[in-house]
Amino acid sequence: MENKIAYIFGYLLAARGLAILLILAVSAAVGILLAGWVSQVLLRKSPRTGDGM
Amino acid sequence: VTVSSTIVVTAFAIAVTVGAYTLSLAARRRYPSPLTTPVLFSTIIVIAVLLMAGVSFEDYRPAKEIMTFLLGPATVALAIPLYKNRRAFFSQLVPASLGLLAGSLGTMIVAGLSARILGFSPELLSSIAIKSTTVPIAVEIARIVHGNPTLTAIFVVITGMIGASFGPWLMDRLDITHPVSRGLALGTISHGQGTAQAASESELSGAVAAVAMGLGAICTSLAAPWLIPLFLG
Repeated sequence: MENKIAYIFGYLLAARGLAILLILAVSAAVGILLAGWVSQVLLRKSPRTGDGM
Repeated sequence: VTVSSTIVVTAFAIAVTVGAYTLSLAARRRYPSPLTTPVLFSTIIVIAVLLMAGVSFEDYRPAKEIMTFLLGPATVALAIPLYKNRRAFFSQLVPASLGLLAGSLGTMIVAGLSARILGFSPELLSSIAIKSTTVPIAVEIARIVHGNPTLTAIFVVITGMIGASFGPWLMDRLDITHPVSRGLALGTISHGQGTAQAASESELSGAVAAVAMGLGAICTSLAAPWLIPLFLG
């Protein structure tokens, strides 16, 4: 199993490594910013809560 | 391999892991940076020391199992701050849910569309689009959407590491300071590793991240079978 993982990942890293890492990084950044920003804007608008609660 | 040598290697591996974590906490206090985040920094130290000592993953496995066992009660303990803050938490349920949906769907759409634009194979696209879910669930979703479970597991771990290391830095830049929002973002996108990072920021962030990790996984498992065929055209 570990050899299989190493083989597949090694092959992909050689072939498309940069593109894969770029997609993982960009999509993670977009997701974190969307989740954080949307919830914070809505929380600050909420009359019952504010920063730090 | 004798029993005594297994015990020695296991004790050594635990000592290295705990020592690396302690060292990374000190490094983070002294040099705060995404690169000194315990999730990233301690992982690099552990890998380097084990490689230098000639300890294989098989040798490390017993130590990993002991530490994973201890992780169970630690994860359940995250319910305590959640319980303490239950009124505030439930009053924020709608904003938190919308944030979770935005993050969970947003990351999947960006990953899927980028993979499509870059000409990835359907198997690779399906595997990468669901990487913001915790490993056991991601592996099952991968089977449903015809992805590769092995690749998916690797992408999940890398995403966790990227998000846990650079997420807090990124949120600082954009003035995302609310503990609920920070925990929500880290748990939704970086699952267990993000939850560990959020718990190191505040107990409320950690508790919210733990809930977000579970709900984010549900959201991805419901959305992926509908969204991924759209990316595949």
